[in-house]
Amino acid sequence: MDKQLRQLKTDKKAYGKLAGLLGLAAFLLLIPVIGDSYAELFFYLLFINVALAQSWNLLAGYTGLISLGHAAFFGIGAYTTALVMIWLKWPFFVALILGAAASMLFALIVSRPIFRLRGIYFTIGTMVLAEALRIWMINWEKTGGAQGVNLPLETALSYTTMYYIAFVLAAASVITLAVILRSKIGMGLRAIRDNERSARNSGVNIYRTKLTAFLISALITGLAGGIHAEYSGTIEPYSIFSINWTLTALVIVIVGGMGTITGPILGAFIVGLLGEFLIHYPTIHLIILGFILIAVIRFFPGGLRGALVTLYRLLTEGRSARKIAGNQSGADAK
Amino acid sequence: MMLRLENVSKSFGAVAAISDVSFAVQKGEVLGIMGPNGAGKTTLFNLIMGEFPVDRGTIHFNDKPIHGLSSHEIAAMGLGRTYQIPQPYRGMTVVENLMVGDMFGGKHASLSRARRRAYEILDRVGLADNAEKLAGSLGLLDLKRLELAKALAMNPRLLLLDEIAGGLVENEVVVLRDILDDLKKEGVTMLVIEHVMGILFGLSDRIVVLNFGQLIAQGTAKEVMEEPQVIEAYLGTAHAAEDRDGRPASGPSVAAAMPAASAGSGAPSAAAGTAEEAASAALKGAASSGAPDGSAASAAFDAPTPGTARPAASAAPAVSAQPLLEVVSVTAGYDKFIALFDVSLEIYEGEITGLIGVNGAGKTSLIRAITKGIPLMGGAVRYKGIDLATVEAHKLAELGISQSIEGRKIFPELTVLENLELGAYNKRARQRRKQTLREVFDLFPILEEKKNQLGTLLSGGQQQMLAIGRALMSLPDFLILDEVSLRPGAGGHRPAVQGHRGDQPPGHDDSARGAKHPTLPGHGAPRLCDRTRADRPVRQRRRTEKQRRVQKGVLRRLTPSRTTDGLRRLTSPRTTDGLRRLTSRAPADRRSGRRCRSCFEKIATDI
Repeated sequence: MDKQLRQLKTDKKAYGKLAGLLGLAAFLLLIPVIGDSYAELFFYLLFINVALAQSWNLLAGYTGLISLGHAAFFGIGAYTTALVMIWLKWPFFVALILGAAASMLFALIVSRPIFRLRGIYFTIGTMVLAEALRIWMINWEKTGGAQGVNLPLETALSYTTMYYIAFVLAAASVITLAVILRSKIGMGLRAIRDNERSARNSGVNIYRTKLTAFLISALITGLAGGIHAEYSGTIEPYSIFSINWTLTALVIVIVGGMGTITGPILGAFIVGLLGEFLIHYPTIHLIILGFILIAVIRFFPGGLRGALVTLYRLLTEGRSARKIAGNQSGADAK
Repeated sequence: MMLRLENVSKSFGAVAAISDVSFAVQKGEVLGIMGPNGAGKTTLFNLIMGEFPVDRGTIHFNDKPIHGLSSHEIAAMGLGRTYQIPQPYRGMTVVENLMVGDMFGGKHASLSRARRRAYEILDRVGLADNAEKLAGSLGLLDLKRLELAKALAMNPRLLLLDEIAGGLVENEVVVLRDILDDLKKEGVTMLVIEHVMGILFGLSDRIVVLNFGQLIAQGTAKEVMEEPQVIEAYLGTAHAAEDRDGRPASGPSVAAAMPAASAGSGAPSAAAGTAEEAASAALKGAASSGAPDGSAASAAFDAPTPGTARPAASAAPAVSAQPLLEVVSVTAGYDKFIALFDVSLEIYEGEITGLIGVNGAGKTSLIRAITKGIPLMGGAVRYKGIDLATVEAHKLAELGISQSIEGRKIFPELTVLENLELGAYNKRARQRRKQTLREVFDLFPILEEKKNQLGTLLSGGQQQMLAIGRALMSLPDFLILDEVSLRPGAGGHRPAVQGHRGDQPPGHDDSARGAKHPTLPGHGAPRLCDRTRADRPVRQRRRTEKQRRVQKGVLRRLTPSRTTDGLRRLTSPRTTDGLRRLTSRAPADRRSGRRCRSCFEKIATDI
């Protein structure tokens, strides 16, 4: 009886969540119709950022691996997509898949050595890797060196199409994460994050489980890179391999709430809005972002999502306390 | 044969943690592992679970070799372990903590089935109410339960329990004991490391005893307890033969007082005789005591020991009235865990005080409380009349307090010489650095030989010498030694400490030293002590009444006992309920004025 009631409540909650998400999705799908090109650009970037943030979140928030090298996956995805389209003249979608595959391959190759590093060393290792790759790309003439490459204009997709593609990516990344977290792998990932030693002795294959997360993260980031290459039309190593991609993801996840699914969505929105408001003051923008980051880490370790949840609890606490008291007296009466 | 170890050896650097250990566990059997601190019990578990490779030897599980496999493969074969210090997944709920084990180590891949089974196990260990809480929010007892539940969730064929009852109070131990008994009845094969003798002896079919990484005895509880080597390992020998003062071995008498719990009747049983006799009696008593019985155990018992009671009033003139160190009703701990409850003691100048007690009794915590390593929750510590609350931690060395921390904690990147020089960091000691260094080198010649080596390249015993040497470098008036003899090879510093004591460096006061001794005093240090504090962790504090004076060149030897009762730990008021229990009980306990339940003493006859 109690169990059924609990199940019903969870169902109710889940349906409410689902309805909210569907509403949001409908709104976002309508943006190109009802909004202008500015709104379209804003939300396009938001989607890319959500995807990046979720992929970073999978590693940092759920596996405990803080990576500063996501720009490498992003850049490899972007460059592979672009080069396949330029050299082989293959269509965008095929190139995009190859780009993601290349990104995953890179992840697979570096996984062995990089997983030997722990904690802060892992972070530094990933950062060095990404920077080395960036410098390599700047100097590699075959891929246009510092000038970069231009994607074929004649087959270019419209901004609106790209908007929808980015939307699909963002939605897919959210769903992927949600599914993973409700699976055996997600359980293993969180166990590794919380206590690697204990996880190992519970039978979790640490390397394989971490690798899975790493590959999925590389996949999502690589796709985001490929999409962004097509959207930009021209790519060059300075911006594509810039550590800014990683840092944006990091800020979004920390501000929104690490280790949660809704947190990064919220964070992407806030960080995006802030960027738009302060677009004419690039220096102040970074300073303010830095302050927000410090403030969140100091005062809201759970991020904005955590803060909102706490607030919600505070507001509803009286009600639920009464409820519990009511149940108690009911039980006593029995 | 479920688990078979053959000639397993493992060294860490120069320290042999496990040497040539062989034993086997039958299916359905419960094998207890006991041994003093640092005997290598947990290392053995780590080797079985593949946390690090064995140097030599083989480990077979169900006739398949498992040495060389990685931990997760071993776990998946059906070996579940618990940790001495609980290792929960703090960011996951309690039920999820169990599901990990079931889904990866056990058989259920589906979340819903794993969840259902996890709830069954939680019901069994009494955690069902906390199932949806974050594991990080649990108190110690619940964490211990969770530790067991996590292992059970793996559906293990062999369960390795590492001090599952450590840190629990008696009624909690009883709860745990029931769970373990049930498991045993179901035929779960277990390998149990335990310091709570009631659990170990009651549960185990057979016991193996380790000391310094070697297997020194195996058999039933009764058999191993009669093994002279075991008694020696736990309680030390009389050391009559090596007595430097040539005092006859037969002279001193020893009284062993058994706690009421072991007698079962509430009346203390006592044994008197040589140290060996008393020790063996104590262990036997412990062996027969079975489950710790709260009510019987709490019967007051003051050790009325023939031949030992020497009134403190017979003070030698060397001792001043003002204690050097006063610890007054100190309560301290770590967040949720109160490690010291209302502890008081005084240490006088020129005196050596031993601090003994089982693992988790609060020995190191007391030292930390004195040296400001942990904040006081109540009470005060005064040193030379100064309230240490007003002194910053780094100023303690200037006041003359110096400690050799447990586990040595030498600076790994520095040479031996640099390590020692850092000890003389305070102003007073810096001026005399050269002379002190000379004295330390005279004390430990090996350090001079290796003075340009990195500290970590020394063997365990040498590192210990270095740690003591470093503590001496600060010219202490009050020297604290924490587990000076923990590691193999450390025996060599006993004469050194004695030597130091007998031969005070000129120019500074006669020192008072607190030597905290490992649980099991067999390894050396406590023989130095003028009086020994059996640091019985339980709420009531006890005091060894035998305050003794030092006379030059004469060292008294106290051989404190280990008792089932002493094994009861101080635990925290981890819940409001616990808090209530604690506060309501404590005053009553103090009123009854309970004393150290059991203390073997050996006192030189010539004083």
